Amino acid sequence: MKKKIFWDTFVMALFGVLAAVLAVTYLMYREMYTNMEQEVRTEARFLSEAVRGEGKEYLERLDENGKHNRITLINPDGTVEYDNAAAASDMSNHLQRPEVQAAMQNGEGSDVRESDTLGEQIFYAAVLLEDGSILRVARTTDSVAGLVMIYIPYIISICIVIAGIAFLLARLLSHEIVEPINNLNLEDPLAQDIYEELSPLVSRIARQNSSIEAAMQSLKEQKEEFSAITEHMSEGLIVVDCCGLVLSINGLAKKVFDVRGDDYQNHNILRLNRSVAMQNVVETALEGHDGEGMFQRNGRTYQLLSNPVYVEEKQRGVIILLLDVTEKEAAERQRREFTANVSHELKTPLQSISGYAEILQNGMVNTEDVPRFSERIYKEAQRLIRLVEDIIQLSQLDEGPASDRKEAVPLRSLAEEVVSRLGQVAEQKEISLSVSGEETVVMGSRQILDEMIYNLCDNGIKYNQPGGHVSVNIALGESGSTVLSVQDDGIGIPEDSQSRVFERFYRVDKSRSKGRGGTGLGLSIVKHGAAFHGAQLKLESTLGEGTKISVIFPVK
Amino acid sequence: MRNRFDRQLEQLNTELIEMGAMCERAIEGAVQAVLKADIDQAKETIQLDHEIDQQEHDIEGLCLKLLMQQQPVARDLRQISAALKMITDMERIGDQASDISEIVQTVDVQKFAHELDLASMADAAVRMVTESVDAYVKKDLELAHRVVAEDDIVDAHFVRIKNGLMLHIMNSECALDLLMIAKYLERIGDHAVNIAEWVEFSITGVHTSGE
Repeated sequence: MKKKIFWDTFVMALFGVLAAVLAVTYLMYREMYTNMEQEVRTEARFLSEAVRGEGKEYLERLDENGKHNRITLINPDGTVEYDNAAAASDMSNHLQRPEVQAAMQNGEGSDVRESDTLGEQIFYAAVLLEDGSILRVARTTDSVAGLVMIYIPYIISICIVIAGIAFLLARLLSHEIVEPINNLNLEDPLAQDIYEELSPLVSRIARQNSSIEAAMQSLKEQKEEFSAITEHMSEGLIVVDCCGLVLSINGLAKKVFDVRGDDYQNHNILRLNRSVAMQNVVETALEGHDGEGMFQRNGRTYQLLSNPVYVEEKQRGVIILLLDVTEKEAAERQRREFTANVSHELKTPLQSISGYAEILQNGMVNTEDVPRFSERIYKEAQRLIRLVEDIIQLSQLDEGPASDRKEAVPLRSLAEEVVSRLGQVAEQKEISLSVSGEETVVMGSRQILDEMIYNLCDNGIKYNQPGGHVSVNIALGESGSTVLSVQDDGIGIPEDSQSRVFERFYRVDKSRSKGRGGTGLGLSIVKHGAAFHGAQLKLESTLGEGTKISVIFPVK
Repeated sequence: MRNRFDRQLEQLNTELIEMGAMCERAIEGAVQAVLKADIDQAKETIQLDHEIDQQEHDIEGLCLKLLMQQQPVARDLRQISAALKMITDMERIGDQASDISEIVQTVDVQKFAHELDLASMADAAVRMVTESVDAYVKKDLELAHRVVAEDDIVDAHFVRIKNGLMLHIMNSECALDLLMIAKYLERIGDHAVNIAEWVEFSITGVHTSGE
């Protein structure tokens, strides 16, 4: 722009100077030419007066005085009487010359033409004398051009000076015009003094500035919102474009794939993870379907869910969700195992019942054996009932008890009650039972607490040798907690099984489980009961010496 | 121009990672085939080897195209030439997995494999390949060094298995086949080391063998 303004101004100035020079030169030439004509005519008149007085001799005398215009005296018949530039006798008849003709008719005449004699552009002025002869004065027009030429160098030097000044001025002008535009502060265009013509542009820029700023702000807010959501979600989230390049990845996914910084950005998703599951879900989603897969990493199981993303009906990328399903998977496995165990445990007594009943039905049993068989059937049925009761109990605890209304339960009296109920069983196995400690009240469900103490004591009796002892102790623990412990001097639990005895259907010695009775659910019920009361369980056991299980109730 | 080149380099990267993943799958498949005497798995692995070969051709084509069209220099050139070398090693890993699978199809070496704990050797070899590919993916020089060091573990396993087999060699043909499998695994470890060395080269510009 600066260049354009400069050149426009400069060329215009040059053009103006040039035009002015040409015009001046032309006018000067015209003026000088007219002057020259006037002079020649006046001279012709003067000379005619002089010749009238003194005759042809005046002309000859004049010639001796120095250089003059060309003067010719022509006789009325057209022959040349006298000429100061050429020999008169050599010259042709001048009668038909236009200036001569004009002078003969009007008294005076003039003409401009190429001279035959001198070969130059010549101005002629002719005057008719009284005797009918004609006096003609001629002057070459070159003398005018010559006069003009004298001024040309001055004109040119003035031109150059003016051009130089125009150059400087044009530069200054273009700089002055452009400078404020260059210095325009686009951030705050309205705050400055600027050309009036620019103000529509400037105010438009200002408007656009504010709308851009608003758009940027809202984009920024949206982005922050998006990242706040994705960073705090408990699933991993990866956004991939339609070429499989990672666009965004949230904190959890970063942690899972162990990526640091931004080195994942715009790289293929395979860089994060190249497991078959990942390749499959990305591929499926890129084909426009929902994908699903599982993969393991660092000992945890993750579920991958992928969805194609459409923008204006065109697929633009893929969203991949990463769910940690380790616990779910484990729970699922546990549930499957439980179902299998329950079916097995239910089937075994039913099989015996069905077998004995079949033999009885067929009448293949001696009369004296009938009570024995009936007892077997009764025992198995009892075992079945106990098992079903335990399962119901457990599932109730699983679901959460029907009412979670808690009441004050006196632990010692409850324990004594349970122990008296178990007295007969203990007696049969020659095991002594005792309750010690002070009466303490805990808030809880009487029924569940009853079940817990019952199961603990039952286990103590079951896994004991004849002559053994099971004691229930209620004491105040540290910082006001209540500790209920059941200790036996039975067979104990091996160390590697101690962490598993609270699992459903877990048996330390599977081969003997039937002989000892029980369902394998007792400690599981204790565990759930403890959880219901917010109590902690503590297991201390030495193989062959005995087991002590403590339930630590929290402070009321 | 540079943008397009970057895209092509990224594509090369992705294809290499894919090939690496295929190799990992091939060895894992071959090892499972040995340990479970699973002929279907063996067949699958042999099929995978064909895919690996095809992938090698594709990557080679891409590398040559990049070299000719873009005339890369410095780091880019190193990356492409390292890629050209790495795919040769990856292709060999695929071949060896396929060789192991072929042995599984004809001979049942399951008994010896369990007896001599081939699984730990296989684990070590698979880990080396995984780590060498990881080193490439993450441009992790330290991991590459570790792969080179881990070769000793696989070598030690090989010696252990060889010694264990010595007693059986007179009586059982299987023993020789298992020795072959162990040797293949040992070679896979060597190829993983080669890959790791090329990763080092692509990062530092210095190849270990040249030091």
